[in-house]
Amino acid sequence: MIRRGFLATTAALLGAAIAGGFGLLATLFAKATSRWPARHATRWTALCKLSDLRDDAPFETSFTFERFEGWYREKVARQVYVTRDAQGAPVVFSRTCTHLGCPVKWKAQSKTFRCACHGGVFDASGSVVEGPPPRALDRLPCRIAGELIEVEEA
Amino acid sequence: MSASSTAPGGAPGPGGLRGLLSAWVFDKQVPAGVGFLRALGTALGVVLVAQALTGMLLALCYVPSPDHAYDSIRYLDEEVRTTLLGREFAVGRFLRGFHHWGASAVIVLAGLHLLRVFATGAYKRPRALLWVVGVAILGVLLGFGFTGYLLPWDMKAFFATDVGVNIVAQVPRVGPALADLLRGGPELGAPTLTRMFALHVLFLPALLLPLAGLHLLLVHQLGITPPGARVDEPEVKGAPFFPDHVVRELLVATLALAAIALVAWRLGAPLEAPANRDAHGYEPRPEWYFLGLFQLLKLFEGQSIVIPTVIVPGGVATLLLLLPWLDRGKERSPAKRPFAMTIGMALLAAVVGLTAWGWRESQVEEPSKPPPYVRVGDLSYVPPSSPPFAPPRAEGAAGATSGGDAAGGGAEGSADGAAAVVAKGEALVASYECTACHLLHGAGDTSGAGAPELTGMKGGHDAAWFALFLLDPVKVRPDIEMPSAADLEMNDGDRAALAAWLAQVSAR
Repeated sequence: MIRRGFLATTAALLGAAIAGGFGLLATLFAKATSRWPARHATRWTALCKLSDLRDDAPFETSFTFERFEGWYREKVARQVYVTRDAQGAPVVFSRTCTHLGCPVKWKAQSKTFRCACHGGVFDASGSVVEGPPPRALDRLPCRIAGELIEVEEA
Repeated sequence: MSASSTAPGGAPGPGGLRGLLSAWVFDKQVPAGVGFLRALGTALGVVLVAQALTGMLLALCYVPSPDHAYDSIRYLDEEVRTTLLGREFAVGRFLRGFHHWGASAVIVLAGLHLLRVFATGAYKRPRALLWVVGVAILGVLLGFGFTGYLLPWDMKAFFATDVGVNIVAQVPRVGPALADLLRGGPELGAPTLTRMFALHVLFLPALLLPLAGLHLLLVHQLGITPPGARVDEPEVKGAPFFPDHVVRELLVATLALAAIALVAWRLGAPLEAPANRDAHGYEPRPEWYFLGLFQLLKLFEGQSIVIPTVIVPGGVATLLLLLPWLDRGKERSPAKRPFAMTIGMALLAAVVGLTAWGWRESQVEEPSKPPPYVRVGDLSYVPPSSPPFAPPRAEGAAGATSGGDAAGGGAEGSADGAAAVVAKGEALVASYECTACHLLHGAGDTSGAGAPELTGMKGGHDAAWFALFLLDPVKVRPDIEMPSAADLEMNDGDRAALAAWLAQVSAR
């Protein structure tokens, strides 16, 4: 009976080791493939001229960049709003509403960004005025390079 | 005789899941004297399940199309990484390695299992159908090996599959049509890749599953053959299946899995340059389990090509399938079946001998094998007749710059060979201005280029790979921008020296 118990335990341990090994492997693989490669993921792209900027009048523009989606090299276009903050520094807003990802639209009369989907409203500085959005509009990293404004897609 | 649905006492067993477990595991009996040799089939089954699992995971990151297949495999090898116990773990490379070497283990285990069944006469009555199903499974397993081969879409994949399909084309009458069917056209191309992929992951599993299920069911119903028992003797079961035999089966399976994991962890899976039709002097080599057939092909030419392509493989397959009816003797013990054993041994010796012969020839030809087969720009590049350098690294990377017109000459002694390779490599990095895009020891202006640090490159490539890569980087890695050797006016000697240096300072 002792021998049988020992062998049964051994069988259970071996089975658990095999199953556990594959469970671990699948988990690690799932984790490693749930993100994109880091290479080329960050690049500064020229967006517009510094002289295009105006106070309180964000304008819509776009830029394209390349990234690796796993093994796949994809050219992606991003729609953004460009404006200036109180200090005169350039600001690049993502057009994606922070609520559920619909695109926001600048309304010149009310000087607000409005999201048509669920009624989110943001002011010219991107802060939430009313509606369901949980936080201000996202800002993309940007920098001044000579006469140009460059933006980074992180 | 069968105790499949009755408890040992003969009374009807419990129903439901408990009854199933009782009949299949806990109250199952096997003949006395059953040892580790009878555990090979289960080990094969476990490794096949491992192949299925790793294959399913790999399929998450694979595209069966010539424009992305190689990229997706390279992505798996180089970028699917994570940390395990605080250390970086290239889980993609490991997984692909496991699937690659697992395929070899499947063939080895299937071969050993077949030999055991043959030697112990277990194919005889009443297990003829079990044997036939087993032989069919072996055929499906070879099909897995063959169809999986093309998927990485590298040089070896392309040309080994090309040769394989050409063998099929040699079959009289139906051969050419059959080859076109396999290829999806007159030449190997994009349709071939999707076909091989579909066969590998859909058609063959659909064949294997019912065959394996039937095989298992028959093993369960007929039981393991009692060692040494004659066909007309009653089969007596006197030992518990669980836990005694289960432990043996799991031990062999664990050992096989551990061996595969070790090799996968150390070596990963090979990946050559991307498939390219215009290969100068590239010599395709099949996977080792097809080497015997490959060698047989070399022995026959012209009209007699049907001998190695049709007659011999077909004859062996027929012999195997009909074995239970060809050998109707009542003895099972190998000592009492001298004729069958002699024929079996001769066949085994022929297979092993041909494989070993093919293996040796492939090893002998190895040094002259990798000429640069990547085309540069306008076809003005003519590959040198001899390899531009001896493969370094093996002996401390000495002699890496042995041939060629590199200024400063090659490294001589193996003691300071490594240092010489480093000095030479760094001097060349400066003269070719590599740091305009790359970092060297963290220094250099790389704004916007995104080129990697030159030391500690990942991927485990050797100097031969780097030499090929430097010749025309975009050909090897279509996803990057980097000038070719021709663009840089880099001579072969410098290219070899840089390659040797890159391999030496790569990440291990």
